[in-house]
Formats: sequence, C-alpha cells, structure tokens
Amino acid sequence: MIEVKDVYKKYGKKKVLNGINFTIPKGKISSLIGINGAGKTTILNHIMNLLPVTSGEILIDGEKFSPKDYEKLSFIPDAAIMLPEMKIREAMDFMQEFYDTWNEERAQEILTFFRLNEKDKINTLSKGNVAKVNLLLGLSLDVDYVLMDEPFSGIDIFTREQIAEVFTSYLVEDKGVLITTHEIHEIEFLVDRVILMDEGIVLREFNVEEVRENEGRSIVDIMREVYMPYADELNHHQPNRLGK
Amino acid sequence: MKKFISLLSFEMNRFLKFLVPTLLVTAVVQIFVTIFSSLKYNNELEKIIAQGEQLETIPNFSLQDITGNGIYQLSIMLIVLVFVFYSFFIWYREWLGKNTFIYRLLMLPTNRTYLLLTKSLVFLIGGLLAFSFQFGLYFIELKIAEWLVMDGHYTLLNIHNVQPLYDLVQSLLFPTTLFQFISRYSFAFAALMSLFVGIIIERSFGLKGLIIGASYFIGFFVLYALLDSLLYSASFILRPSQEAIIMMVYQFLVIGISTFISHLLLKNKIKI
Amino acid sequence: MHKKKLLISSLIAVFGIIIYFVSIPTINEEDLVKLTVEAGDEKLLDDVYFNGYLYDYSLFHWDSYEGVTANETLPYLEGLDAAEDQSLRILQKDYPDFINPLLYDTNINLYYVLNSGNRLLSGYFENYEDNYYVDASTVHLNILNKETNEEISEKVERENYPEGDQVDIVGLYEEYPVVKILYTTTSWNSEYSVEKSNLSVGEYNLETKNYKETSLLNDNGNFYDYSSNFYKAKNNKIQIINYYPYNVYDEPEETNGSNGPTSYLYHFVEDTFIPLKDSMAKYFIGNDNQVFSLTNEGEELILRQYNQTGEKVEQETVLDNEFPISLYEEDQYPIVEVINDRLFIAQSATDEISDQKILPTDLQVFDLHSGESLLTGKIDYDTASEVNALEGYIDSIGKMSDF
Repeated sequence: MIEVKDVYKKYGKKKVLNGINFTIPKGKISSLIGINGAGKTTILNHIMNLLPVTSGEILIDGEKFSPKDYEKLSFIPDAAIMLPEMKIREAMDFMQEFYDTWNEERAQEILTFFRLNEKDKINTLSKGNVAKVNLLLGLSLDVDYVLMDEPFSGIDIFTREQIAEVFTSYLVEDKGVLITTHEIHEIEFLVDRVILMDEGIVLREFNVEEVRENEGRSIVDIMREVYMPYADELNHHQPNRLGK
Repeated sequence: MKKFISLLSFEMNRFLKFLVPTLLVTAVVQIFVTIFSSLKYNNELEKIIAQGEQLETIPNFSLQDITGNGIYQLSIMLIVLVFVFYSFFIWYREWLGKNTFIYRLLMLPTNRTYLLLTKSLVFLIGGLLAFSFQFGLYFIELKIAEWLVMDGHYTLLNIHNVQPLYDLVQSLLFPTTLFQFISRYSFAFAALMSLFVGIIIERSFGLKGLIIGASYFIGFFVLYALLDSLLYSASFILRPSQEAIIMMVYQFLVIGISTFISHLLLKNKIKI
Repeated sequence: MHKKKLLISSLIAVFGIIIYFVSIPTINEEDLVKLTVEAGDEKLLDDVYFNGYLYDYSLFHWDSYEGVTANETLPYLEGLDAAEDQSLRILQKDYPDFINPLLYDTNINLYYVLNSGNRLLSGYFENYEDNYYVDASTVHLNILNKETNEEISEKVERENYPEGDQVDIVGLYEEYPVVKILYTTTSWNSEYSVEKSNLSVGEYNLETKNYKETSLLNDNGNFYDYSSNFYKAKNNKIQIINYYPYNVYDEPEETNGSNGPTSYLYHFVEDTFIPLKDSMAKYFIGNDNQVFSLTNEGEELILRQYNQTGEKVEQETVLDNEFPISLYEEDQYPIVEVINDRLFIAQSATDEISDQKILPTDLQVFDLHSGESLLTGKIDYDTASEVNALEGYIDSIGKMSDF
C-alpha cells in the first residue's frame, strides 16, 4: 500500500497541496480526480520522489522511499521520458539494462497489441503512439504499483479504447494502479476507487462498488455533490466538504 | 556495479557524439596546417636558393613552426571549448524540451550519486582521450613534416619539447612531469565538480539556487587565489614544494566536498 | 556489446597517458655540459666547480666530484625547492635552516651571503609590513657558527643612510666583533632618465651594537660588485667595485669611448677607497687578497699584480693563451678566478645564432707568476641535442672546498 500522509507543498506563495491524505492499495485501480492545476501531478511526483517531500510523509509498503523502490513503482507520465532520438527497441534495451523487473516477453506482447514497430524512432511517432510507448515501457516492468498521469490526454478515441483494454487485462491485475485524470467518463467503469481532490486537499475518497450498491450513486453523482455545493444546497443537501 | 557501468557507457556514448567530431575537425585542421606550413617553408627555401643567398641564414623547420600557427592553436582551443560547453550541457540537456529525460535518470533503481559519478567520469575519460589523441596527432604531424620538408633543414623535436618559448597553451596542457599533470588536471576537475554542485544547487532551489550555485562555483576560484596569496605571505615557513602540495590537496578536497554535497542534494533535494 | 565505445575510449585514454609519460625523455646531464681537457693536467680541475646557464633550459653546476647537476633535471618537487643560484644550492644542502629563509621568505630581499671560514653571514633587507617595498632603513645580519650551529640575528638601524629608490649590498666583510657592509643606493630621475648612485659603507659592532655609515662616492651611473654574485666564498679584506658612469640606455658613443667601467678598490680594514687607474683593465681579487688585472694589449693578454692599494704594479706577466680571450667584445663573456695560485679563465660566447651548433666555452688555466698555460679545455653544451639549447655560458668558477 502506498500511503500519502499530510503532504503540504507550496510553490512560492501558492499552496498547491494543503494536507493531502490518501492511500493506494494493491490489487485495485484508484483514480485521482481533480481539475487542472489541482496538484495531481505534484502528488505523483512526490510519490515517485521526483519532487522531495518537504512537509508530510509518503510510505511505500510501510517504509520511507529508497532507490530500490523504483523496481516496485512504475511511473507513466503524460510525455515520453525517453530520449526522442532513440528507437523503441533502444528504449526497451535501456529499460532492460537498468531494471531487474523488466519483462521482455510482456513487452513483446504489448508491442504487438499496440501494433508498434521496434525500429521506429520515438520522435517520429504520433502523440497517440508516444502514449502507447510510454505504457509499453511502464507496464513491462514487474512492479507492484503503476502510476499514470493523464493517460488519455490528447489521445484519439481508438487509441483510448486500446488503452482502456489494457486496464481490464491481466497486465494490471493485482497491481496497485493510480490514474490521474480530469476525464472521468473514460475510466468510469474501470476504476475501483476514487479520490476527489480540490484546493489542495482530498474531499472524498471512496470505493466505487460500495457507493453504487449502498447509495445507488455513480462517480459522477458524487463528484457533482462534492464540487458543486451550491447546486447541492438547491437540492437541499448539506455541503459535505470533509465527509467520507 | 553493473548498472554503474551501463550508465557510464550510456553517458559516454552521448559525450562521444560531441567529442569525436570535434577531435576529427581538430585533426583535419592540424594536418592541413602541417602540410601548408611545411610546403610554405620549402617555398621560402627555394626562393633563397634562387636568389643565391646563404641557406644557413634561415633557421631549420621544426614542429614548433606548426604548433605556433594561430589556426593550429585555435583548433586546440576548440576542444577546450567543447569541454566547457558540455560541462554545462551535460546536466541542462536532461531538462530540455518536452521530453525531459531527467525523469528517467532520477527514477533509475540505483544510487542517484551514480548520475554525478558517471557524468564526471566521462569528462575524465574524455579528457584523457582528447589528450592522447592530440599526443598521437603531434606524432603524425612530426612525421608528415619530416617527410615534406627539404632534407637537412628539419630539426626533429622531441614531442615533449613541443613548447615554443612563449606558448602557454602547450606548456599548460602538456606538462612533462607527473606532478604537474595531476596538479593541473585535478584543478580542472575540481572546477568541473564545483560547477556540477552549482548546477545541482540551481536545479534544486530555483532562482535562489542560481545565486548560491554560482557563488559556490566562483568561490572555488576565489578560494584558490586566496590560498595562493596566503601561502605567499606564509613563505617564511613553507617551501615551494610544500606550497605546491597544499594547492593540490586543496583541489582534491574541493573534489571530495563537491562530490559529497552533490550526493546529498541528488538524494534529498533535486527536483524535476 | 554496446559498451564497446566506453571500452575503446577508456583503453585509449589509459594507454595514451601511460605512453605519454613513459616516453618523456630522461635527460642525461653529462650530455648537457661536457668538459674535455685538451692539454695539460686534468688534476688541476680537482676540487674546482663551474656554475653556468644553458639557454633556454637550465642553470647548471659542474664539479670534479659529482659532474653535472642541472636544476631542470632534478625531480620536480626537489626542483621547485632548489635554489636558482647554484652556489647557494650547494650551501643549502649543508645549512638549510640558514639559507632557506633567504630563498623562500618573500619578505626577505636583496641578500648577500658571505662564507667566512667557520662562519656564514647573510646581510639582507626586509619589506615593510604593509606592502612590498623594501625597508632600507634597517639591515638584517644573520651569523651562523658552523661548528656550534648557533645563529645570531641582528636588526641594525641604519642612521643617516643615503636615500634612494633602490638599495643593494655589494660587499660584506667580517672580523669579529666588526661587520662591514658595502651598499649602493640608486635613484633615478625619470625626466632625464639619469641614474645617480651612492656607494656607502656601514660598520656594525656586534658587541657594542654601534653602527655608523659613511658615504664613499656619489655619482651618475651605477656601482656593482666586480664579480656580480651575491655569494662570496671568501672573506676578502678588499673589494673591487665597478662603476658604470653612463646610463644603461645611453649609446656607447655618448660615453666618450670607454666601454668598460672604472673600478675602485675598497679596503675594509684600512678603510681606503681608491680609484683603479687603468680603465681598460679587468680587475679582480686573487685567493689571498691580491689585486690583479687583465688587459688586452694588441695581440697579447697581460696579467698584472698590484700592491694592496692598487696603485703600484708589482708584477706583469704575458699569458700564454692558446684560445683568444677577448675582454671587451660585447658577445664574449669571460670569467676570471684565481684558485690555489692559478688563474682560471672561462670564455663563453653569448651570440645567439639559431641552428648553429652551440659555441663552446674555452677554458684555460695559467700559472699566476709565469703566465704559462697549464691546461686548455673546452666545455661543450647539449652535445646530444636533447634540449634544443641555443647557447651556454659559465658565470662563476670556484673551489668546492670553500663550501
């Protein structure tokens, strides 16, 4: 389990994270939802230790971060993080060289599934294909946790469908997945848990299945409730900013 | 360890993309100057013979006539420039553009200090490579000049004596004692490591970091000059050899301290 | 294996460096300065040393015991510490605590060292505390007893000393408890580019701590120690000062013919200061306080010995020289020394013609009384062309046992 505890972050005077608390359990797909600029990418960077945590604590399986955790955590950001002049094969070789958890078989499967050519240079690929390469590199690692930052942004619909298929496959089975997005409808039916963020704090963290069964509400319903308190007032509901 | 070598090889390949073309350009320029100078000298000799004057009045041709050439010296400065350029670029390139490779580097499952060590080692290896390359070039130029210049008018200079009387560049870069070599190149390496600390500080702390980082880098030189002048005033207790050793120790200290500071920053403070 | 490039680069780097350092030539000192005796008894050179300079390579020292030593061929760190002056380097080995401050302390300037039997003396000035200017008002004397290793340090305030821009010590004499110091003080007037110099002698009593200074001569021009070394291996009672009446920037034509200096003889004990009359003669002191001069007269080379005041010629000999010895040519550089009652003359050429073989130094030894040639030899430089030297010359001759 990844635990984010009381994390604060300021950029100059602006408070981006104002005491963030949530968890990412293994075996579930969690979604971090918030508007642009809410601090989602910042949290991901914190978890991956790409941005040092100055206030608060992040524990990976109960322990503070250490470099070997990079064999446990895979980060798939929304831009390619390989040298653009590399061919796909070279990028894969790079990963294989440095990560003990690299799974070449799986990489080949994903390659075929996405219909990518090893010999293509990354800087010749379309945006959709770059996203696929990112996924390829991120998912071919036998890690415990996969973090994805806006995996669908700027991607055409057919690629999105392909990517969505990945989430339902064995490729993410029993991993702890965290997806950040502001387009909930793409993954509404894929995610197990939702974390709603606004103004630097977690407004609500819930299990999708439970809420549907117990309250009969969808993710969008909850979101409407949480993000539009005046609308709720109109509907005679109490604003519930801190409830679970 | 295996991953360290992989990373080192990776960085080295990237550096060689800059270094090798530069060395080749230098080689072409220098050989051109060699051939040109030798033939020009032959021309002058022939003119003197045609005029019937004494051949003894014109001095012999030697490697010094080539290395003293302005364009030749520029070719060596070119290599130095590439090193200076790359010492900044080697770090800042990771943050350039949309596809920031620094993510990948920082997420490698290895001690982050490997980043520092590999980036500095490529300068060490690249530097010695350029040194050896130039040394080999001298040798080739010697042979070409000997072959081209009219017999009896060529003085074979020992390569280690290729130090025209007032040529600072050659005598700086190609010293004839091991002590001087280590002393000078460890100065350059200490400057490099100080620059790296400065860059890492800037990358870790933003604008504030730029000022601190630049101060650290400049501070290395300032402290060096201060130490030198302190030793000068303390000359009543120190011998010149002791002073030279102290300056060298200072350089190694800077290398050690810089490495340590960079290590701490990379581990705890650096951000993408 | 894509680590090929790394491997190749590393190999070239490592082997390149190794080859570079392995191929640095070791210079054979014996090829740098080669002394050949062409006629006469080699044994005359026993205990003799020569100091000189190989341009543009290194200062060197040759003696009959150890052959050639050159500062440049010393191990680097040792070379950094080695005294530039070859005589001081020899002294430094035996008396490092005495000599090292003179060499290394940047505060100590303008030193003069006297080797007087069982004592070593040094006279020097120091800088003012705040700046790099020499404090001419105080002269420092250090006296080392070689046997007991005791060292005395005296700070002597010069009262009524001549003011000027530059001070130098050009002579030192000691006879306990008195130490006598010869100074030259020069001032230059930049408007007329004329230098005026003062020659003065200071007398210090080590017991009474009394000091008095007297001016000997004031004139336009400069005064120099006749032998231009700041190390004297003998406590001579007399000193010869050469006086150059013209400014260095003047053309020779403006000086009314005479190329050479006029010389003065100062007697430390008698306190006499007498001009030496023959302006064409090269005066020097023998190994037993004798006054000698050498003159070219026509084809002949005449050696004269004078009485103690330099006024009367006591003996005149024609030297039987094999090689020509020119005392006045600008590019000839003769060094003259009397050792064990024999006259040594080393004549070096300082004419740089690039690419010609380096001109050797001619060495001749004469009997002091008969003028007979006892030895002729040559000193050849850079015989294996290892260091690309352009010229070589000898600038002092002496006796090793004087150290």
